[in-house]
Amino acid sequence: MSTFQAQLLNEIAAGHDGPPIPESKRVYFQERYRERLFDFIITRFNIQKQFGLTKAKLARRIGRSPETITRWLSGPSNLESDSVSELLLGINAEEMDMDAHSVLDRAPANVYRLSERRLESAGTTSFSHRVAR
Amino acid sequence: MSIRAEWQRLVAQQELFRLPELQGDPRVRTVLMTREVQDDLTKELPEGPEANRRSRLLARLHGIVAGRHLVVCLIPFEARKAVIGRLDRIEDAVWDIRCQDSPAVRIFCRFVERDVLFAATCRPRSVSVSWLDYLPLGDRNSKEWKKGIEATKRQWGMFFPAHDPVNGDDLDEYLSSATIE
Repeated sequence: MSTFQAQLLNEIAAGHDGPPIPESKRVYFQERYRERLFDFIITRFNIQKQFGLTKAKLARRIGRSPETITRWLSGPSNLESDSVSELLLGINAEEMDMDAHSVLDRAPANVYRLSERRLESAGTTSFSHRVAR
Repeated sequence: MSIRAEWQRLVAQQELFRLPELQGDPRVRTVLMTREVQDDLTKELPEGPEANRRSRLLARLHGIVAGRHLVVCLIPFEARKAVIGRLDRIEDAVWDIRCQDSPAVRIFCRFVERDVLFAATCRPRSVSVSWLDYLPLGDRNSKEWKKGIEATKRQWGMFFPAHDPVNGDDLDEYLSSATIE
C-alpha cells in the first residue's frame, strides 16, 4: 500500500473504537461517491442513446424539465436518492442494486478488464428492445 | 524520443510526478504533476474548509485517473459544469481541471497524449486559498488568467521542448470516455 493510501485510510482502518475519521477524509469519500455515481448513471445514459434515448425523452418520461436533466447529466453533483431512482428508471427501467465494498485491503485493479466490466454492469440492451422480444 | 518515452523518463527521474490511483481503482488515465502541484496536493493542512476543498479536488483527480466519464467544454468561457474546459486562446492548448465547490480552484493543464494530462499549476478561482500562493484568477480577462496560461506554457517548454501538446477539436484525441458539454 502506498504511503498516500496508508495516510488516507489510517483512521478508517482503526476500527469502531478508533479515532474520529477527519472531516477532510470523509469529504474525500463523499466526492468520490459523487464521481462514481455520476459515472454509473452517465454510462447507462450513453448506452441508451444508441437506442434512441435523448435528454428530452428522459425528461418527459420522469416528469422533469429538460434543464433539470441537462444539469443532472452535466457532471458529478449531490444528487438526491429520489433523483437517482428516477434517472435509473427512466434511462433503462432499472433500480439500484445495493452492495458495498471495503476501502481497505483493495486488490489492484486489472485495468484491461475495465471496459468489459462497464459494459456488463451497464447492460447492452435497451428496455424497448427487451419489450419488443 | 517519443513524448511517451519522454514523460516516462521524467517520471522515473522524479522530475515529474504521476498521481497514484487509490489502490483497487483502475489506472486508465495518467495525471502528471509538476513538483508545485504535487506539493499543493500533499502539504499538511489543518482540518477545516481548506482541507475539505483540497479533498474534493483530489477525489476529482483520482476520478480522472480511474477513467470516470468526463464532461468537457471545448469552447472557452462557456463551461458550466464541465470537469475540464479549454481556455482562451484555443491555439495555446491550455485547459483547466475545474472543481466547482466554493472556493473553487483550477488546475491548469495540457494534454501530453490521449488520456495523459500534464498538470502545471493550481490557482484559486475567485477568492484566495491559504494553501495556494497565487492571487485569485478573477475576471476572464484578468492578468492572473494570463499568468496561469503562460506559466503552463513555460512549464511545458521546460519538460517537453521538442513536442507540442495535443491540439484540435476532436475530443477523442484528448480523452477516452468523455463527452462535450
